[in-house]
Amino acid sequence: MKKIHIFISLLFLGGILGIVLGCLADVSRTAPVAAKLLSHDGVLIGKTLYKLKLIPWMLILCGLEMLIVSVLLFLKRNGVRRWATSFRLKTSMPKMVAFGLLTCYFLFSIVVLNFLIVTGGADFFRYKGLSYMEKIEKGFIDSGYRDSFKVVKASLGQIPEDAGILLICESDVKYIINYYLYPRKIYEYPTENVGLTEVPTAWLQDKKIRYVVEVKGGDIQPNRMDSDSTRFIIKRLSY
Amino acid sequence: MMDVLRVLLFIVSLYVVGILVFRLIMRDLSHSSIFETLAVSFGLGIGLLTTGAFVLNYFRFPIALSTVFLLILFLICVPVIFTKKNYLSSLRKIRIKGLFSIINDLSFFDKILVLLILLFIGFVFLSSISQPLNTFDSRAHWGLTAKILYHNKTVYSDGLFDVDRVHPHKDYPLLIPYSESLVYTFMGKVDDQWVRIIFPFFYLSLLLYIYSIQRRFFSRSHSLVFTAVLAGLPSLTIVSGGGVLSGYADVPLSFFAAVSFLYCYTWLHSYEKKYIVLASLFFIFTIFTKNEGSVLFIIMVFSMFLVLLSLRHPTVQQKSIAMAMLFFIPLVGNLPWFIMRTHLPVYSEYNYTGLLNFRSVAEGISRLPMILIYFFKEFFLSIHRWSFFGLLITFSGIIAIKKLFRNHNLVLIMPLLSYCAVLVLIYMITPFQLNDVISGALIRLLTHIAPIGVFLLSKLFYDQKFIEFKIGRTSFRGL
Repeated sequence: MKKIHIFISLLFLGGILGIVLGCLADVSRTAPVAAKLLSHDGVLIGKTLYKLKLIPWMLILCGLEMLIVSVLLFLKRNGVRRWATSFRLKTSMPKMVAFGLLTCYFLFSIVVLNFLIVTGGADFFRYKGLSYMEKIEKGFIDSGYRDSFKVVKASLGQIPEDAGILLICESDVKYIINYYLYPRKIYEYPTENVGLTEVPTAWLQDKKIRYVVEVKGGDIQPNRMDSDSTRFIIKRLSY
Repeated sequence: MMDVLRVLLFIVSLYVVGILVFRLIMRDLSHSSIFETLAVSFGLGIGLLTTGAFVLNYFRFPIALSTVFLLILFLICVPVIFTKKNYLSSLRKIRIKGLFSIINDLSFFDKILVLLILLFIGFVFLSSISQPLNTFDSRAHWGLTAKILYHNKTVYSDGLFDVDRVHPHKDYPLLIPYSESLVYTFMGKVDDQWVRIIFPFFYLSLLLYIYSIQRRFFSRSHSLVFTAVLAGLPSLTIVSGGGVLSGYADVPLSFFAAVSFLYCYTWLHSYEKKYIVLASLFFIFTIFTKNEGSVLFIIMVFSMFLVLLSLRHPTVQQKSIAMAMLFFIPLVGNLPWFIMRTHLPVYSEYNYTGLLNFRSVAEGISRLPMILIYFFKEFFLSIHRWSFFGLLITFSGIIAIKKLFRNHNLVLIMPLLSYCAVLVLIYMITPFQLNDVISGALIRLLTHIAPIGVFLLSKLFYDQKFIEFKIGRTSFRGL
């Protein structure tokens, strides 16, 4: 059997194997374990888990592509053989290494493209038909700030657009909350870790602050699925 | 449907402004391919509109739809008035015809590469408009500033100037926020799903530019191979780490920097003033996109200066004019921004120029081994971010070491090495924990110079004849 036939056969079998593995793989049990292993401190991270669950689809896509390429190569086998012969005769070691690295680069690029297509496709179906607020909620979940959406939703409902708000929040999620609450004017007191009682009334009056949103717990470290649910208070000031 | 039309109108305006200005600078579009025209026109269009909008704001003109239309009208009229030749006949010289002849002339190997590039572009476009902005900085920083600019119609807003308002970086450059706020102005509302459309155009323009600039020096198949290398670079396409889908300013900065750097490189081969003008204009946009843009600008001016010192040609007069243009046009163009920036609140720990002193550098030396390990890991072991790019460029550089530091190649390799050195210095003096700032940010920072790295790789492969292609209707001849 010629080498080219062996190569095409291996590619074909690899394709079949990819599709079979993709169809049979049960990620519901293995993915959480793998996600824990991949995290730095053994805590389950939502994004990693989501991506791992898409691996079977990627295997199927890669398998399909390998099948198509093997069939194309089989149909053009004479041309490929000629090219391979000339390739062998003209190579030197550095050229061989450079060509090998470039080939690896492209193979990996195709795997990346497949992964992007699978994740992009999954995202497309997840977001399809959702309202703007539902998309925002999903955005919060994807960023690992799943509970903080409740703060945004409640604030949007209770606080008028032109209001000044004092936001007391230790987490970086304050910047995301700020984005969605704009054009409401969100302030933070210059000194860190200060409760509402310690904020001078003169400063509040100077900034025309009428509301306080205090966010505690949860989502301090994004993506961690073991975090407590966020507790928050929305308070109207009267002075 | 109206939303789509309004966004399309914005994109078309960018291209119209860009093509006319590009025509004014190039004098004759028949010397540049359709791909180069499209790529540079997009950059010129978005760069001039955003810097123009900022300058108007700086002089207290609000940015409403009417002001934007007047700005566009101005940017259209100036090139038309200053172009001497018949305008329509010169525009017809854009080589659209070449576009169709290429399709017939492509070999099987070329077609596969084109398909791969198109798949990446198609995926990036579809993904970008399928969901709203959802990464951290795209909302917390760039998106928020865009909302502030859109709602207030001016940059003089409490949202940016009041130190107590929540905002992560009030003093960051404004090109991306202005681009987004212009989309909102055209749409008449904030829509953080459609606003993402501008980012794939940066990616597309980057690929078109890298292809067309390679075609000035190399064969079609060779250029296609390395355009596909850039298209498939994971750091450019993955969402995490500032890729094109993240809505961060890193891919736009890569595009502006690549155009500036590679037009400087092109000038070194032809000494035609138009390339320095284009490089200088793109340096304005580079500085106005991100703080790292200023670093890239300084590095490039310094590299050009050293390279010109070592060259016999061009003449001293040509060298002086080029250096003066390269240095002063970007600085003057950004003068309003530099002045305004001094009035914006800065968090002391972000003020790296203030932190740069002998004491902090000496203290940071202990961090050096750890920083170098991070660089090594990022470039050689993070295959999911860089594929085999680190190995490829290092291997090619070692094999072609003699040619690497010779004449014109210096203007490519020096900025790459200097930029990496600056990054090391920044990590030495940063007041934050090294692990917190380096693990997520290094990929974004290296993305800024990735297109120039790909061009250098293409040049090294060409010089060393690692892959050879027949000219014209080609078949892949292997090594």
